[in-house]
Amino acid sequence: MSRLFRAPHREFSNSPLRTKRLRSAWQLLCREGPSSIAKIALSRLVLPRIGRATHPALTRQVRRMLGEAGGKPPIVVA
Amino acid sequence: MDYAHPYRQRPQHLALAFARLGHPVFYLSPRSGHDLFLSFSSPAPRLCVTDADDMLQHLLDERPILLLMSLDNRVDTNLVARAKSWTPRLIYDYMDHIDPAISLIDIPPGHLEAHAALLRDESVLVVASAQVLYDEVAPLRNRGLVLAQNAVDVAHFQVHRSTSALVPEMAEVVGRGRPILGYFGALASWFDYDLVHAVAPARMSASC
Repeated sequence: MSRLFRAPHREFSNSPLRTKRLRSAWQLLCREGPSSIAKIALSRLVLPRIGRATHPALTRQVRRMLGEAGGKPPIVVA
Repeated sequence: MDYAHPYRQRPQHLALAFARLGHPVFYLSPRSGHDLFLSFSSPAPRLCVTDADDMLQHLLDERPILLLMSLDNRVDTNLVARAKSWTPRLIYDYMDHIDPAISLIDIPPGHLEAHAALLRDESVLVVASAQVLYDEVAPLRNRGLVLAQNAVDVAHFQVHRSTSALVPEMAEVVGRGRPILGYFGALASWFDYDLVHAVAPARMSASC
């Protein structure tokens, strides 16, 4: 299936060390209160790449939500 | 619009309302700087904010109901085609006039083209947020059109809040201790200042 909105990601190495460093940088910036520009850059450029390493968490979340839905159809708000 | 955008709009309210009705809801964030998550966040039960729509397409066993918003300038004919290849259950929320004076940016021609096509596409359910929008769409189709107007989230405004951080002008109004009539929204080109000046004196028992 093609993506709806997301631009294709460039290949990114999700080595554990790199992910750990990015996550630490993110947590540090959260504590320090990053500027809006930094937040946008982080949310658009950095977090999705870290997030690629956390897809199993999204998978579990989706499975859990579907399991609790009781047959109600999923809704995607785009 | 990011789910966590401080100026909450119809997409966020609809997503939360659907989740409260028991639907699993996936809100696709454009990540414009307010939604800060790794792969997803869950701001409410049954509500998941993510940008991984490519993954969702594989994870959802059932074809979802996909809600497209009319003010989303990313919606063009190519995106609609991709959406239809994902699910036949499309809803197009016609939430406001398509007008640069409202969006404060130019409207991409591709969005105008998709908008016009969606209003006529009877395989898509169109939801109009106002009677005037409903009346605009009604002649274009024979079925698949509903009116769902905006309203007030009364519970949101009934919550007691501290007044200590109010700006002096607002603190003075609150300090009068009278009911407050106000407008919650953008002071944009459509705002009728003359009307407000005309009706305010009729409610002198309240603070306007």
